Formats: sequence, structure tokens, C-alpha cells
Amino acid sequence: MEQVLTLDQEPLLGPKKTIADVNEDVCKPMERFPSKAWWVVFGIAASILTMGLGLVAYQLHMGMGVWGLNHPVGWGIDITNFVFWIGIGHAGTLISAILHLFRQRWRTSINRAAEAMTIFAVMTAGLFPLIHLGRNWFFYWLLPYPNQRGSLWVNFRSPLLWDVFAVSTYFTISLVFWYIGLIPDLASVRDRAKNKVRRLIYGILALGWRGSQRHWNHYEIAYLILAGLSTPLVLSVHSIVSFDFATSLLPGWHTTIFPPYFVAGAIFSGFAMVVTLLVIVRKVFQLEDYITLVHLENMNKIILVTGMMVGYAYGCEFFTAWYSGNIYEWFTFKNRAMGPYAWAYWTMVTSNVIAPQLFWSKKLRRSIPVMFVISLIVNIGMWFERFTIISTSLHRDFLPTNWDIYIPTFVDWGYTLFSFGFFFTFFLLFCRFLPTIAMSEVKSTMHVGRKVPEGEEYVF
Amino acid sequence: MAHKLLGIVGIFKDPYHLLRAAKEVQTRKFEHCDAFTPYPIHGLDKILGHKRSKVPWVTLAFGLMGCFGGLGLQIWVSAITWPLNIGGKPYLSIPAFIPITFECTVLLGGLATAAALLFFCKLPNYHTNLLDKEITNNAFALYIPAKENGFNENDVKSFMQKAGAYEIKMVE
Amino acid sequence: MEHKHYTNINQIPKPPAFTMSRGLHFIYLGLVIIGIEAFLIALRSDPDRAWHNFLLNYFYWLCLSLSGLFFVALQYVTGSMWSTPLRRVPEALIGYLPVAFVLLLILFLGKHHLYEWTHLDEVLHDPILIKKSAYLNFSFFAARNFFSFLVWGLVGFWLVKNSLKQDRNGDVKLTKLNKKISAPFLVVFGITFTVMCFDLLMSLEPHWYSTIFGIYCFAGLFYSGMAITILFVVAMKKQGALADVVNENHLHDLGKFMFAFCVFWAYIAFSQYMLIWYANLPEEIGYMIRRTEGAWTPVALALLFGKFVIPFFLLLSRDAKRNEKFLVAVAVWVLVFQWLDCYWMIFPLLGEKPVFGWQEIGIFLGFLGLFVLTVTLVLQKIPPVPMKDPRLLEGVNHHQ
Repeated sequence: MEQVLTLDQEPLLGPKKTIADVNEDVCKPMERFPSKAWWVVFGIAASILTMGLGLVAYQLHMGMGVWGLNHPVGWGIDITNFVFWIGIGHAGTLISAILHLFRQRWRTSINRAAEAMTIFAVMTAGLFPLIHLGRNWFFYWLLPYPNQRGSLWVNFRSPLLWDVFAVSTYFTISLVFWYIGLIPDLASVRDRAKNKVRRLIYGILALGWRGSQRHWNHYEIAYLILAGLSTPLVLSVHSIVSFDFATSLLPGWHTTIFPPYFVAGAIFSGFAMVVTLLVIVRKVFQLEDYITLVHLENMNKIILVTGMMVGYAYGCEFFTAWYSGNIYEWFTFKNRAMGPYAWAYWTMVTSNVIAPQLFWSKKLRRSIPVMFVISLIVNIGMWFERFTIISTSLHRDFLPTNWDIYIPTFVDWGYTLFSFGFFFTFFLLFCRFLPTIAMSEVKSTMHVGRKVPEGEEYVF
Repeated sequence: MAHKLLGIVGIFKDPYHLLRAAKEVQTRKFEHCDAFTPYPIHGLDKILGHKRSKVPWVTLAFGLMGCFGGLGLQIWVSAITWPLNIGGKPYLSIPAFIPITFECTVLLGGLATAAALLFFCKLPNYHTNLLDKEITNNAFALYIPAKENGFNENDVKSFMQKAGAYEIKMVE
Repeated sequence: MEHKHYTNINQIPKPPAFTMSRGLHFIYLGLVIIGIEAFLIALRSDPDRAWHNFLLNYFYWLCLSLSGLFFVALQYVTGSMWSTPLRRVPEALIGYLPVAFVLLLILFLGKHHLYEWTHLDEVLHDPILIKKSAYLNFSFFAARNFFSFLVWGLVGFWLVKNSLKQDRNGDVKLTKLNKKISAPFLVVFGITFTVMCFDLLMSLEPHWYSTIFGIYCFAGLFYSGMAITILFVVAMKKQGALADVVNENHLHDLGKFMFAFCVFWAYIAFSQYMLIWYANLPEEIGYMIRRTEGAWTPVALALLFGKFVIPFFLLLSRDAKRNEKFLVAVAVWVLVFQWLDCYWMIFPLLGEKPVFGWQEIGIFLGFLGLFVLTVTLVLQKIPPVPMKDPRLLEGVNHHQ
């Protein structure tokens, strides 16, 4: 009755890596002079960033009229970009927090880069409401603090204020979570540093971490708690972003499924962005043995699942618009699918629901070119989803005399480009100066010394 | 001897051998030992007799503080000190206060967790030297201070060696 | 606590079969009879109330059964190891589906007592209901329900059949096959379950609509499903069938799921409530007014505290989720409040004041007896542990 009962489990990492290799392979790219390719890409990103700063100056000088916004369409590409970038950030938190709670070991190779992406994406997103304030120099009026304007307080019933709290909390906690995760790795970088300045800088950043068991004890609990806090936090952030729309009375904006639908969409687009970035990073920094096809395939599965959740929401919204029997609801949705912005709507449906279906095939979801293309398509599709929700719901409101078409100007597009320049400048700096893979976590998944000799007691 | 012996550190190549030495520590009922590892080793805390971390209690306390503080601020501003009719909503709009209450809970709880971690670990600490440079790479060290009850230099050395230490250093 | 660590699947002792004592059988059978009696008497005195009770219990217990189906499929798709030793419990929950199908046919008899849109004269005087009649008409309603049952029944049967077949031949391919079945099934499940919730519950108030409603019901399904799974797992562990293969780490994970869905339910419930409250649109707000104002305020508050706040704090600590007795108590608590949630969704249609009497208790007990009898009958028939599942060894050795 001897049966061989095995399911082939693919190893997470490439072949024959020891734990000493991890430090070597991850830190090496940080320690040598940046390659030409890096300088070129960095140069482009930084130039776009500079151009964007020029646009900001132009807008400050000219006023809000330089945007293409008009009467019914008061929110356009600015808020589209805000929602898009906030969404991108969500995958990082999902990988670092939720997958940690689910004990998904494969997250360890990708969580660092994904969390970095979160932080930079949230910073990018935060730019847009600030640029869009009008009188940008009064940005601190968003915060509730006692003041001498009579004491003039913020309106706590406004979802836009909830956003201020949600986004700033999200940024702060993500940064803390990321930094705590970095501490052991910064110590590794410190201890292998050959030059003094390097040792000093990383030494200060590492806070004197020595890998003590007592410290690990607190560290693991604190890390788990931060994961536990980040999980509802990440749900709350995009939910609150969705409240900006859903608390209104506008058909197409006011619908109860928005919070979970936005969260699913955020994770979806975020994972697409992680795939896009990591496909490049693993190649450029030769980390193919750490960020393997297993990782990429798992992420593609999540893209498939969340893509279908988004599809469920599209379907549910459309059906309910009809089922409601409300003529305004139904008009809005017909207008989306067949009105002047139908191209945007169908771009969204094709990219977000249909394209990821290719990932049902194991072969396709393990093919680097295929996943790279799909991840780009999904990113585009999710950008159009936000555009569809925001602009098409606004441009034909209750009074036909009000109807108008929104045509973005070069400023709208310029800011969109600027956001990518801003994001990539930071991301490229991160790749240069910090370990892109959570080394201590990867080591813990390598099962070193776990093979117990015959007859010995199992102690782990 | 110019220096007093502070303790002995044994360095191992993997967690399995470290745990074998740690078991010896357990039988001798040493209480101040510490291990230094590149990543957390599960089960080691129990063997070395380290207590469960108290960080969760700090999180809970500050989380509740954030929760009630955030809610209190909103109620005080919106219903007491500056009541304004906005969109016909009641002054005391509890459903509308929930999101910010939640964010305050997480913000305070999260920051307190990080602060508690540094506090309990007594970090930042730039004065204590590392026992071995490879600990943050691939070495697993067990440190036994000389102040332990029943500490015997030769005994410690021999069980470390038996457990498979590739290097044994005296810390002075 | 130390656990035995098995290095080979053959070391795991063969578990004794699950049995329930004769006395208990008779007690549950007695409950079924009480339920039938209560329903028949209630039908004469107050048929509306009787049918609303029937719908409540039909939906409540069907969700518990579907939670088993969903959980099994989910575990196959994610390739989870930890849940393998206790998988027979959710598998047995699926066994209630055929019984539920018979109950569905009975439910159809009470359609006029439940659904306004089945009254042609009322539909004809209501322009919105006329528009909706393309969807809200009885034959389409019945067809949708039949189709859902067909899919759930076939897939449920197929998954369990493969799992039992593996007990005999230990074929690894069956695990892979079940994974292949489960993935597309979860997609279909999402749609069919939403349609069912829209049909059975949302159409009770045919003018009201909420796009999140399916997700709201799903949150309750998984939340209460974990609770019922915990109860059966602990019962089987006590009785001996799962004693060697399930330890407090498994309970911890089930508890974590229950905790997570406690929070998830609160999140979804808050989203639905707050958005409707905030927008205050006439076509939506009536639903919430009927359920949160006047005599229904205490019920709504009880739901807030009983289904979220109290279990949240009870399950927060690690020790609570690892303590068998405590977890069982919380699971019972959760099941009570899942019932209250269904009550809160259905009963405000009967009147402005919540009613609770022998009808509610009696009919609930009847369904309880039927459900427990069916599930235990299945559990007694099948081997209590999938002994040749390739994931069993890792699952039994489950540690943090």
C-alpha cells in the first residue's frame, strides 16, 4: 500500500542559492557605479519631473483656467490621476501586509519593491489634490488645528476631508512599515560596506540593529501588528476615495458597491504595475533567481482574480442601473456605453475584463512578454476606468442645457506625464540606494538547516 | 588578564546547530542568554526563555486613544464648538465621523507600535558592537554572559563545540 | 503545547469514524417535528409571518451549506495545506444542498405571501414594477433558482466525489482536477449567489436596490460558515475523529478567518448604510428608515454590537482564537447574530415592530434539526479525514 503522495511544488527561488548569496546578489548592484542604462532612464524621468515643475509654476501664475475643465466637468484628468496613483499603491500594501497575514511565503522576494512603489505612488497621488487646490499655498487649511480665523474648523462631514486623513495616514503607516522592514537589511548593508561614509550612513539608518533574538521577538510581533493595521487601512483608503464619488447624488457616482469595487480595482491596477516594474527590475539588476516565474505567475493569478472582481462590479452596476427603474441611472450607463465617451468605456472593459482572461492559460501567465504587455494594458485600462467614472458621469448631468464635452489641454496631459516622471525618479533612486529585495525575509524562507538528520528530534 | 570575561559567543553555520546549543542552555537554566541571527528563528524564544513581547498592549492602548480622540475631536468641533448646518446633515453625524475615527485609530496605533518596538529594543543604539560581522549575513551566534548562575567557561565551550560551533569567541 | 510531528503520511493514525449517539439523533428528529408543527400551526394563524420565517431559515441554512462549497473550492484553488485535515466538514455541509432544493420548492408555494411583484394587479398599477417585470416574474425567478442549484449541486457533488475517490486510490491527479473545477466554479458562484440574494431578499422590496447587496450577503455567508465549521470540527475532535489531525493551530486559522470576516462584514455593512444615509435619496432611504428607526433601532444596534463590536474584541487576542471552548462560544454567538441579520433584512416588511415568538423559535429549531441531521448523516458515511490527500501531511503538521 505504499503510495507516493506528492504534488510537485516549484521552488520559490532559483537553484542552489545559499543565504550568503542573498546578501551578495541583492547588494551588489547597489555597490557598483550605476550603469549607463540607469543614467539614461533616470535622466529622462528627472527631465520630465523638471518639466512638471515648470507646469506647476505656469499654473500658479496663470490660475486654474489652464486646465481643460469646464462647467459640468469640474473633475477631469486631475482626479483621474489621483485615483489612479492611489490605486497603484494598494498592491504594495496587499503584498506586504495581507499576504503576510496569509503566510504566503512567495511575497518575500517582491514585497520591498512593491512597498517602495506604494510610497512613491501615494506621494504622486497626493500631488494632484494639492495642485488642484487653486490657492495651493493654503494647503495646510486642510488640517484641523486651532487658528485665529475665528476658530475656523474643517468640515468633518465632507468625504474630501476624509481623504486628507486617509491618504496621510496611509502614507505615514506605509512608510513606517517599510522602514521597519528595512532595518535588518540596512544592517546587512552596513556590515558589508567597505568604505567609511557608506558604513556611517547605513549605520545611522540601521539604528544599531544587531539581530538579537530579543529584538527579533519584538520585531516580529510589531511587524505582524503593522500588517494587521495596514490591511484594514488599505481597504479604507480606496473606500474613502470612492466615497468622494459615492456620497454624491450623481447617477454613475452614487452606488453602494463603490467601496469594495474601488479596492478590487486598486489591487488589480497595483499588481499590474508591480509586474511591469519587476519584469524590468529583475532583468536590469540580475535578480532572476529571486524574482522568479513563480512570483510573477502568482501575481498574474491575482490580476486574473481581481480583474474578474472588477468585471463583476461593472456587470452589477450596469444591471442595477436597469433594475433600479430610475431613468437617470439608466441613461448614465447607456451614455457610458454608447455616448461620446464610448471609446473610453470599451477600452476599459476590454483591457480590464477581457485581456486578463488570457491568464487562465498557464503557459501565457508564465510568459514574460505576454505578462508585460497585459500588465501595460491593464494599467491603461484602469486609468480609463477612472476617467470613465469621473468624466462621463459629469459631462451629461440632469439638465441637457448643461451638457458639454471635456477636452483636456496640454496642461492636463503634461501633469499626467509629470506624474510618471515624479514616480520613476523616486523609484529609480530607491533601486540604487536601498536593497530591492527583503534579504532577511528571503533568507527565512530558504529552509537552511531544516533538514533534520535521522533520529534527531524535530525542533522547529 | 587585563579584562574581565563578559561572556562566550559561539558561532554556527545554520539554525539547526544553534538550536542544539540552545537546548543545552535550556537544561542549564541560563536566563540571560541571547542569540544573534540574520533572520528570526521560530521556537528559539521559548528555548531561551524569552517572554512574549508586550508591543500589542501598547498598540491597543494607543489605538483606543486614537479612536476616542478622533471621534471626540469631530464631535466637539461639529456639534459643540462650531455647529454648522451643512447639507441638512445633523450636527452629530456619527456615520460621517466613522472614516476619520478609523484613520486616527490606525495612525496612532501604528505609530505607537513602531515607537514601542524601538523602545523595547532600546534602539537606536550606536554604542554596542556587533559580535560578528557575518551575523547580518549568514552566521548564527549564541551568546552566554558570564554572569549566568552556574557559568563555567569550559563547560560552555565544550557544549558549544559539541553542538557544532565553527568558532568560539571570548567577549571581554 | 508540543505537537506530534509526523514525518510520513503512514504514521498518522487511522481516525475512528464519526458517530452521533442515538439519543441525539432522536432529539434532532424531535426538533424537525417541532419545526413542522410550528410551521403548520403558524400557517393557519398568520401565514405571512410563517412564510417570512420559512424564507429566513431557508436562506440562513442554505448560506451555511454554500459556505462549505465555497470554502472547499477556495482551498483547492489556493492550494491550502492547513485546511486539509478538516476538509470533510465543509464537504459534509454541501450535503445539505439537496434538502435545500426540496425546501426551495416548498418556498415557491408561499411566493404570494412574500413577494409583492408576484401580484399582477399590483404590478400593473406600478410603472416601475412594470419595467422590472422582464426580470421580476415568477417563471424567470424559478428558472434562475433552478439553474443556481443545478450548478452548485453538480459541482459540489463532483468535488466531493473526487475527494472520496482519492481516499481509495490516492491519486494526486484528483487534487489537480478539483483545482481545475474550483477556479471557474468560484466565478460562477459569485454570479449565481449574487443573483440568488437579489432574488430572494432584495426583491422583497422591489423598489429598493443596492449594488453591494450580494457582497453584503456573501460577507455573512463566510462569517457564519466559519462559525458552523468550527462547531463541527470541535465536535469531531472531541468525539475522536479529528483528535489526531486537528490542533489549536487549525482552530486559530479558522478563528482568524472568522475575525477577518467579522471586520469585512462591518466594512460592507457600513459602506452600504453610510452611502444610503449620506445621499438620502427617496428611492433608497426607505429601506434604512424601516430598519433603523422606531422599534427597529434596538435590533439595528444589537446587530452593530452583536455582529461586529463584541466578537471583534472577543476574537482580537491570539489566545482567544486558540482556546477551543472560547472559540465555540463565540461561534455560537456569531451564528445567533447571523440569524438576527437575516431577520433584520426580512422582518421589517411584516410590520413596524419586531416580532419574536414561538413561530420564530419553532421554525428555527425545525431547520436546525434538519440541517444537523443531514450533515451528520453525511459525516457518518464518509471517512472523517482525507487520508490520502497529498496535502494532508503538511496540513496535519500545521504550525505557526
